[in-house]
Amino acid sequence: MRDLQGSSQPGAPPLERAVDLARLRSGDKGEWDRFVRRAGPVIYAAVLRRLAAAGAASEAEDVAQEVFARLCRPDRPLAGYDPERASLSTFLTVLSTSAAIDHLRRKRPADPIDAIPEHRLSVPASEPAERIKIPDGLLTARQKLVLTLLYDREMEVAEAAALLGVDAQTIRSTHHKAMLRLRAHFAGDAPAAPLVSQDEA
Amino acid sequence: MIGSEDDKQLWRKFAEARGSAPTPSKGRAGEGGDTASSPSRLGDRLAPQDEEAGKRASLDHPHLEVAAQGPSKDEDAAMLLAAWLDGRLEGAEREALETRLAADPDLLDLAVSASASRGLAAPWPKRGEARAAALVAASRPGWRLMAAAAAAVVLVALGGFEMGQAGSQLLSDDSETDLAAELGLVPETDLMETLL
Repeated sequence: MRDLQGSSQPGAPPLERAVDLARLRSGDKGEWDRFVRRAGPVIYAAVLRRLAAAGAASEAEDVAQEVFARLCRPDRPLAGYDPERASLSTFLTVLSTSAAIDHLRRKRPADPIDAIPEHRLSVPASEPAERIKIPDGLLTARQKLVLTLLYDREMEVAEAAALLGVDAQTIRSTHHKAMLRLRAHFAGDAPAAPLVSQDEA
Repeated sequence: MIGSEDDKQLWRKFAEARGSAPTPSKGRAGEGGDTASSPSRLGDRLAPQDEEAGKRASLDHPHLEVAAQGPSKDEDAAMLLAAWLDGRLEGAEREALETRLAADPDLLDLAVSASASRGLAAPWPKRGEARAAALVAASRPGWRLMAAAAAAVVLVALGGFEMGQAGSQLLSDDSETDLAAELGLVPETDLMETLL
């Protein structure tokens, strides 16, 4: 596997510029063949990466075909892609990763209900504990996401920064501000005012 | 790792209070799991029991037939996530998506996994390329060309028929005259001349 900007094809144009989207969507056979040649390695890499992690690398070719079948709608190939919103390679990578995940999920053997221990099906006798009231807007969407990445996913600051497309200092700052608000709220000494913007970071 | 254990506990308290207690960690960067959601789940969220039932369903090809019929919800959702990964999602759209990502570990797993695969390419077998290329058939000629070709065929056929008919008539006339002469029924001389 190589980086698209790597040395395999120096100076190769991005996928968007290598493909004539209008001709592709009009059903032009030659353009579809060109698209398959250029997009195939991108789709295959995303699928292969995900399946290999689950020990199913040998199935990558079939899943890549499934992605092409999804893209190749008779009415308008790649109808769901908007070049103004994202690069074609990112769009294909998301779609391919999703297809690989779906494939792995389908492979999971179904648990027959008879095989599930009864205690797992029973409803807990105790009532759920009363939840603490959390005001809307205590944390911004970005703050919640940053804390999720750092604490639930156990990501490093640099990894979270790369995912969000910001620098590491921004992640630290967002984390710091979020923790200040949480401490203030749970300490109960001063209810935090709702935030209005998520872009404070 | 940033933050203290107290910070982590505070976050857990917040998450539980919101009713979105974090699921057990899936390991580094969430690459190991195989249960992340399809991007179509960016739309309406299923009830937990429905989600579980969906995971247990054993459909062989859940997408191909549906995708072939019309606009794909998966593609729309993938477009949204791709825009976010490319940093092109702004305002309320970005906030809504990030709220979903923070609340849905499977969706976040998809985003993390796709992010890690961005910019990669791998050589794939030629037979795969051939199979994918065959999904679109060679284009057929346009209807104008087809109509012109049909008209040309009809004209040639009609012309041939007319020519054949005329030739046949000529041959028939000559044959009749020759035969009558041979049988001695009609003299070759002009009839009027004979009478006079």
